[in-house]
Amino acid sequence: MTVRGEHIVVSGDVATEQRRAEISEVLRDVAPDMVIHNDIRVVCADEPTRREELR
Amino acid sequence: MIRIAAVGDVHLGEDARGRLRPALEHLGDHADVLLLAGDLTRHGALDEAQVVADEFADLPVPVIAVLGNHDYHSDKQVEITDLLMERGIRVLEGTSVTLRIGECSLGIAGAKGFGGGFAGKSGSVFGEPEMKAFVQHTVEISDRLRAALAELDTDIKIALTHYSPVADTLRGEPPEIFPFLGCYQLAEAIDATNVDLAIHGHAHFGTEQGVTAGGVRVRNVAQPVIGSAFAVYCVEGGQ
Repeated sequence: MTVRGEHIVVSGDVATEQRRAEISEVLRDVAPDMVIHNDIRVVCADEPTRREELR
Repeated sequence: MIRIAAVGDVHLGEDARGRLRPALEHLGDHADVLLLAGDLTRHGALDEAQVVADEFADLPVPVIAVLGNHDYHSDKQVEITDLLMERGIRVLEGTSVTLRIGECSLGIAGAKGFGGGFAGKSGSVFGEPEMKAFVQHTVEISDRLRAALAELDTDIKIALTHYSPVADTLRGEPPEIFPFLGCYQLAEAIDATNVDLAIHGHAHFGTEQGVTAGGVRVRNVAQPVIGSAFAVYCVEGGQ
């Protein structure tokens, strides 16, 4: 989490969109006068598209 | 050649139930074995572990796991281990398993590992009791991993940990926290025992590829790093 003046930027990764949204809710509760930028990403859970051969 | 699928840091809970299952349904098309590199839960709660068990049970390939620090948070690591084992997920902690896949034998030794740091920037068994206890834990886990790896006599040998054995795969993480992300003693165990590949998780902001001082390839499979449900590595024996 980075605070710059009236701006809070959070980054990182979570497993679900719900967890990402919960972080925004918590920040709005504890810092209602700040501008929240939620840059947290939801981790991809798709099948891999490549494989690595180790020789 | 054996196809090894691996993922760590899935941090499952009830709110993420079924999240990986669609990709896992086709696991047999991709891999011969699945390795789980710890931090399977969010807070080490048994209800979260139940979700983990449901997610990774009854897959078409063997599933081998180690726990991570998050899985220890509620002091339920023994119960979590038992729960996963009952569902056919083999949990390693200073232990090993041997599988036969076609004509090839595959040995996997695993341990959670611990922090401590890397060459020139590491803790030592010196000073306050708390510091000595911290590093002694690192030494004991690494020694158990070494012993488990040394016992294996297989065509291919894999080391599975949660914490990293090298700093290479931590690139992207703040350097200040490297001592909490891994330790050189794990790499010493790996380099001493003819390992073909070392798999770990824990470092969400790290990078996938690294190598030990002895030339053993290391892969960080923390899910945020690999960006998919699992990564796949094809390994030939005797490297």
